[in-house]
Amino acid sequence: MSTQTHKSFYQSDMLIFKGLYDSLFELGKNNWIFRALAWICSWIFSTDHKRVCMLYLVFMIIFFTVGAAFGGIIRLEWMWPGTQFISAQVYNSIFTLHGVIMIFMFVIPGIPATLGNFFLPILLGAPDVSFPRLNLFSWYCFIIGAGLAFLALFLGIGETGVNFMAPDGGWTFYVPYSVSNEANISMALMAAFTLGFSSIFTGINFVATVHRMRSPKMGWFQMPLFCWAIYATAWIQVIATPVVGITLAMVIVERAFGIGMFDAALGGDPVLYQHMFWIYSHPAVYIMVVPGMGLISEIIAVFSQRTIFGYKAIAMSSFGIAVIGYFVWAHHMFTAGMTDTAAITFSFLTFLVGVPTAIKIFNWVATLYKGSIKLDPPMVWALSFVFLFSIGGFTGLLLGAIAADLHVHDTLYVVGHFHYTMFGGGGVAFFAGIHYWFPKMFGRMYNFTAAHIGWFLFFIGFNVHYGSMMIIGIQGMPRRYHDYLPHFQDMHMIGSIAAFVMLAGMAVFSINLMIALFKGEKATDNPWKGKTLEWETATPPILLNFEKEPELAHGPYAYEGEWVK
Amino acid sequence: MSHGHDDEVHIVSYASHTLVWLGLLMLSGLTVAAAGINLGDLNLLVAMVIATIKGSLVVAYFMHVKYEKPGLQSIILIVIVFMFVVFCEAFVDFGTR
Amino acid sequence: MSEEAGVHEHNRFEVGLEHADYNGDKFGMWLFVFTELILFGGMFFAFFVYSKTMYGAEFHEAGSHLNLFMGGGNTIVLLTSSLTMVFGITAIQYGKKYLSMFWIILTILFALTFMVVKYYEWGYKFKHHVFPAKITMLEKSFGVSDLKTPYDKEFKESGMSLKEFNAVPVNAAGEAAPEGMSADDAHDKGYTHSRYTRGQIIFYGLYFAMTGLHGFHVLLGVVVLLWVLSLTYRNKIVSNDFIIMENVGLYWHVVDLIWIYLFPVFYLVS
Repeated sequence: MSTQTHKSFYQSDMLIFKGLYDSLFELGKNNWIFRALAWICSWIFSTDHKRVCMLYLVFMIIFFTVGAAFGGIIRLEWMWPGTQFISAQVYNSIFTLHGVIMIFMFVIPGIPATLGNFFLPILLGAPDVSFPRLNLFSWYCFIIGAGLAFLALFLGIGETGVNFMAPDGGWTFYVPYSVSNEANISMALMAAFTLGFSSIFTGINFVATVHRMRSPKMGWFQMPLFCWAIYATAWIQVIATPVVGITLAMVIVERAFGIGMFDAALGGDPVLYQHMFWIYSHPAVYIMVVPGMGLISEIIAVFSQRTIFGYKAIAMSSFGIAVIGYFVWAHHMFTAGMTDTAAITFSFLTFLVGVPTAIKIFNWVATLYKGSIKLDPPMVWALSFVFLFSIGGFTGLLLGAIAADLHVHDTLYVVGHFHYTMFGGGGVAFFAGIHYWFPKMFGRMYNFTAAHIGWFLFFIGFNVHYGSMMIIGIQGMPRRYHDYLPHFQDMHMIGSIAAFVMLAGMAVFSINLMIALFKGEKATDNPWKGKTLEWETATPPILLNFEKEPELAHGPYAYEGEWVK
Repeated sequence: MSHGHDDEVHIVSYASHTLVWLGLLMLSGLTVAAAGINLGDLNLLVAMVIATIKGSLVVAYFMHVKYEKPGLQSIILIVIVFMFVVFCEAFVDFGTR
Repeated sequence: MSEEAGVHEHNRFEVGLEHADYNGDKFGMWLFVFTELILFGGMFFAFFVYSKTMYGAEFHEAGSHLNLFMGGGNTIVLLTSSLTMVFGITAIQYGKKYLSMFWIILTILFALTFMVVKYYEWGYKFKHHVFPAKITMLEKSFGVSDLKTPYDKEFKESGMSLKEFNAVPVNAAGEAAPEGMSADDAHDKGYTHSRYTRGQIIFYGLYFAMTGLHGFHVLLGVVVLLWVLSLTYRNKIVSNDFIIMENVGLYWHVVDLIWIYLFPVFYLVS
């Protein structure tokens, strides 16, 4: 499919500071240092969406590993009651950082910044996103934000000068603790603010791209469902993120200038902080999960070789989730001191948000019916998503019921619930997407046996690990606690062992993929027999993706028995 | 770097802009005057209504929205109304204390 | 939007993305405008929460200490700057490069006027010990801030109206001036501070935060307008490609729009 006239994405000349790159390239002909510098420039100054994907991907893998390491430390510490390896203060910082890193530096950029960046334009039949330079700038914001977060680990400006205390108190930074403690909160919040900009700019780019860059003959209802999911997510990124931006800015201002907007002693209302924080942070969980749902729609269709059931319903349900998701935030606050009227309102609306999600689940299962199902690695991950996210959703029902929530709020039950949804949902979808699109992105195929083994270890470990949390959560084990009562020890031990099995599974499939990068069999253009546009491009795709406007000979789900053309 | 869409670009006249500006000034005067009359709880509402009229003039004429395509107009309206409603929902808590 | 997507007189995959997408660029700017509106919307939300639920009377009283003349003046300044901004766009659409630059320069001058007025407004407040409590630099120059300690207990015990309570001057140690002492006498003897309640402290906190954030956006606007000026001078913004000026105009109108709401909410609340 590729020709010699266009370069592959490994050789990009869509650069800013092109002059600098050209000079370095010239100098590099005789000097390896300049050659290396030129190579670096060709990546960090590239506005090609495929390269931007790789830039995000490399760093997000690093951040995920750090975050997972922090999680591992928590699990190690929990194996026995009492202090094992780390003090309570350090423990508080560890779980705070685990949350901040995983949420702001992995799951929220997540699928959109990586797979979305790479494949949204291609699935739409476009040469790139609407604003390629803004795309690169999003990545700069991401790196700067991550750098600030790293600095916050040990560097801050306290009242007594430079401070060496990593932020603690949880990723939610509740007041009054976050405005009064000594730790490097302001630095961490500035990091989050900058990361927020990255998210906003990506959202702006993707909304515009879906509106403006589609192939001429591709109408709204001829787009693949992944594009619908990315589109709905992008709107959430644009509309919700500014709210947390202003909230965190107000906390920074309160710490730095003493403007007591949340300080009760000066007349402020701490519950106002929680409202403002969650008005973003609840829609944020849909940023984390909706793109994954789009991916699952694609994978299930391809690996059952069936048209997706209920295309329009699934497309619209992404919006249903996005819209209703804006109105349910205070279910995180049932014990915070709201009025009963508020609690009842939010509880009711919370139950509603399950409806569009259920529509998706029904439609995916219906798609499988009478399908020619292949349990290749992407498919086992996709089916795991359906299973794990359903558990996450069901356990959410208990949390949405006020009376039950009073019992389990701030216990490990909640921690189990959100790991099932965010990790078993968002994270697993990410793994599914990587396995699905790996051959197209890198031109190599990986070993299926190793991939399946990795999956299996992960799946068992995951369920035992987070399942155990939910059990002792209901039994009363609180979250964010360094120590615990002895009768929880057995479950903690089981959970920790399971956690390491889970980590081992991730190591197995990661190493499998990394080996495949260098030693894998060359992949064909369409190994999974998909019908969306990326399978018609070169492998890996050429610069600008296509040589000319792709002919949309058929719809994205044109399998036998298609319902959508 | 031209684009072939010039013909659609609608040029707003200086006169039209000046009229809008005069309207804005008058409304500003009106809102100051209204603040001087004691209407109790209604004062804030009146001030916000006048501010919204002023804001609508800025959005419609200065920001050109009156001449934009219906698609863009709808999106702008929906987003503003939507976030307003979301913030109002918080008063389900604050308003019932 | 989708009808536009089909009209391409060229191969998008040959020339890459040099072809500008006027409507797309405008749409992208509007998406950014939404984020700015929601950013400030969040603070307005906080303001109304406090105003409606706890501190209606105190906001009312605190607002009367703001300078309506300066606030109103700044309103006119910003509204006019919006006018000169759109004049600049109309001028460039007619191909009048230097006229357009003239209007942009005027817009910048109005913006700077706004900042100067703000400087004096804030300066006046600082001199009267009203500034965010933790800024040590200001503490050194002006003494302890009146926003540091709430006087709710004393207010309740005094039985006075809030207006009367605010009017009784105190010294830096918090002692009230003796009854019967004239205002000038009290001032000379060091009774230069006022006592504010929590609601009033919140009011001023929000005042500085919101007008401060707004002023920051005005300054950013000045920088961006200077950039636009430079682009126009170098013929990068011309009659058939002026989207940058139009988008900066959108940004500038948002700055104006926010002030349209800030003004009544802070200055007219009394």
